Amino acid sequence: MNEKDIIDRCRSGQNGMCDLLIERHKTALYSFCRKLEYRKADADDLFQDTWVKAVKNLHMYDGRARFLTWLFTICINLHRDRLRRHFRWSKILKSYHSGDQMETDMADLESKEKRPRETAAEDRRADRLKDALQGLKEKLRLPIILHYYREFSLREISGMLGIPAGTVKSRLSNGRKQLKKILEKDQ
Amino acid sequence: MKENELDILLEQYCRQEITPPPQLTKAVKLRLKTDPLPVALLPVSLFFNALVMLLSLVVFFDPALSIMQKFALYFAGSILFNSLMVLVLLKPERLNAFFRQLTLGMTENANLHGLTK
Repeated sequence: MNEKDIIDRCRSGQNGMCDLLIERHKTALYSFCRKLEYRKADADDLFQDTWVKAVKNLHMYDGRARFLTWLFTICINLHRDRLRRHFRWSKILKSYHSGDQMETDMADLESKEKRPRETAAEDRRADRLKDALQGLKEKLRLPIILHYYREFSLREISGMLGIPAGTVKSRLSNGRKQLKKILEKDQ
Repeated sequence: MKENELDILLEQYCRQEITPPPQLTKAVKLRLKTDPLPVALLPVSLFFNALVMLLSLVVFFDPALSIMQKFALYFAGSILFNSLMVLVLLKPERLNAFFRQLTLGMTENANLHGLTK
């Protein structure tokens, strides 16, 4: 059964079709979520929220782009919402608390920003790269992940991020340069 | 570090496929079955509760009933109408999924507190 058939049947509410759609794309989406979010728990939440939003809005998928591209766009938008919420909270905490209390609360929040290592067994080089990627600004990090993960074209990345293709190209190049600098500094 | 060395590192890291844990996929499927529930129920729930309010107004002006009896009748009517609505409107598989998720959540909480070991 091809993807279009599955999507149409899922839209019409046929039993098990949405489950089939999830099974087909779960690994691709989960791997992407794990690259966007440093912490596993955050990636799990993002994965769940993306599927719920995608299936609820399946009637809006027009088939012009690949389904995976559409799914990743939803995932990126949700990830940005989460970041915005997180940023807003950190601002509220900064203005609300003072002194020792603020330091404790900020330490909690910053531990999320720094995103500590969760699996000690991870390869050291991959770990360093992961940390270096987290050190990049979001606008530089996203094009890099999308470009290397699934070899999305510049046009596809520009559609997903809502920016011109030329900007994607320059952000890719700037991101690579900064990443190189961070990695060389660590050595 | 050479340019292609960085490219290789990035390719290795970014193309690494990670399979989601089975319980996560299961949770997504359950959420999809239970998520549309509150939104679909809201207008119907409002209608039924308005009906209960209307009936309670009739009861409210009955001089033969005490205040406690009026309250008891209102609550009994409200519970009855809302239960009826849930039973009549929900498909059995949705109800089933809803209770499964409820018990799953309770088990997870119990696991967190070490109650099931």
